[in-house]
Amino acid sequence: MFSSSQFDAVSAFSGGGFMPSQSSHFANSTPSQSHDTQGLLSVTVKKISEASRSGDEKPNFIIDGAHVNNVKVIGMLFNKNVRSSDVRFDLDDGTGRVECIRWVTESVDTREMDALEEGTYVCVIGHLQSFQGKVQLNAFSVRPVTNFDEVTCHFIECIYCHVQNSKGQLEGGALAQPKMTDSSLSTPVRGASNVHQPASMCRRSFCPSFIRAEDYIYDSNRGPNQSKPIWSEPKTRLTHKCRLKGGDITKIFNSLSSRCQTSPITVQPFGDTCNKASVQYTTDGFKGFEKLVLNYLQQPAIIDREMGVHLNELSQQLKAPIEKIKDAIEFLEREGLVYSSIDDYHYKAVEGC
Amino acid sequence: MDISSPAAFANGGLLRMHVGRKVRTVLQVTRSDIASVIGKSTDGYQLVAKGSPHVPPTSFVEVIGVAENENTIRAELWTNFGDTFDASSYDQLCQLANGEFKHLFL
Repeated sequence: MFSSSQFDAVSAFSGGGFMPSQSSHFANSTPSQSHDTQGLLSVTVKKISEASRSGDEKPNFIIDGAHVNNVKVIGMLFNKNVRSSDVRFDLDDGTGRVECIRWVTESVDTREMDALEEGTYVCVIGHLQSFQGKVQLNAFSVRPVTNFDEVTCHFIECIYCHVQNSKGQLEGGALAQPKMTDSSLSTPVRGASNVHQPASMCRRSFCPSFIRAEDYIYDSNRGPNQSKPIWSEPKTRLTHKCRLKGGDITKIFNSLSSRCQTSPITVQPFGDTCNKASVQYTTDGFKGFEKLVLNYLQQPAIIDREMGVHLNELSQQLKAPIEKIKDAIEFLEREGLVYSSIDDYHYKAVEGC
Repeated sequence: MDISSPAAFANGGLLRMHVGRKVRTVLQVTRSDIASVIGKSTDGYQLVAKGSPHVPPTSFVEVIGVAENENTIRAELWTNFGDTFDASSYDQLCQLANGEFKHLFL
C-alpha cells in the first residue's frame, strides 16, 4: 500500500541476523500453502498479548485462530538501547507496549536504526518470538512514519484482519469452500459471530485499497447526517446497530491510500473468497460510462495484466477524453471496484466483482 | 509486554466516555498558547489540550493524555501529524475502536 521505497524487502530480509524461513509466505502465499499461516498480519499489541501458542515443532503464535508468522505494528518508539549486535526498544501502539529487537550486522541496519528518534512513530515489521516466557518482536524492518494517515490505516487493517480471521476461526478452518449465501438472511450479530461468510484467509498485502470488507456490524448511535453524535447514553448506544456496508471500509482505505500516494508491493485479491451475494456494493448512480470503464478493466485478458491499464489506453479504447476517464476511475475507486496498481496512472479491476 | 495503560481512541463526542482515563485524539489546531492548545476534534468539537508541545504544532496534532472532562485533555505526549490529515477516516476509526472492536484496543 505504501510506497515500496519505504520498505525495502531486500534489505529487510538480508540483514538483521535473521532470515525468516517463512519468507515465501510474505511474498506470495497460496491458499493451499498458507491456509492457516498468515503472511503478514497487522495487529495491535493488545492482540499480540492475547495470542496463544501452538504446540508444533515450530512454535507459532495463534491470533484469532490463525498461525501468525510476521506481524506489522505501528506505534511510538521508546527506550532505545543500542548494543553492539542489536538495538532494542519498546514499541507502544496505544494498546500496549512490546519489546522489539533489531539485529544489526550490516551498516544498512545501523543506519536504519540511527535515524529513529525517541518518541516518534515507527512502523515495525517482524517475527513474534518468545524468550524466557516473554513475547518479543524480532524486527527486520523499522522505519519512521512520515505520513500519519498510515497510522489510521494500520488500525483499520488490524480491525479488518481480525474480522477476517475470526470468521475463519468460527468456520473451523480456513479451507472451507465458499458458499452461496443470501445476504438478506444475514442477521445483525456482534463481532466474530457474524459467520454468514465462509472462512477466508487474510492474505496480506501492503495495498488495502482493494480490500472489500464483508458485512459486519458495529454499534453506533450516530446517524450519518447528525451534527452531534449521540453517544450521550452509554447504556443505549449498544441497542442501535447499524450495518457497516461492504464499501464503507473500502472507502476509508481508498481515501487513505490515495492520500498516502501509495503503490502496492504485493497485490493479492480476495477473489477466491469473494461471495457476490454477501458483499454489498451500492451501485446507485452507477452511470453508463463508469460501467464501460469497469467492463473494459474486467476483461480476462486485462485482468491478467499485472501492471494494469494506463489511463491513456482507456481513453483511446473507449474514445473518451482523459478527464472523463479520470472521473470514472475516481468513482470506481471510491466504490472499491478498481485500484491503482504500479502507479497513479495504471488501474486494475478488483477481481470477483 | 505491558498492556496496563492503553490510550483509548477518542473524538469530541467520545471523550466523555473516558473521563479520568488515558485517551488519544487528533486535533486540528485553531489556537495555541503557552499553557494549552485549542483545536477542533475530528467530529467537530472544540477541545482543549492542556500543556505545551515541545515544538510548534502543525495543523494537525495528536494528543495523548488523560481526559479531565468532556472537552479537556491533560496532555502527556504530542505528535505533529502535519498539515494534511484525513480527519474523517480517523473519526471513523474512533467509532470502530469504541464500538464493536473495542476489545482490539482496550
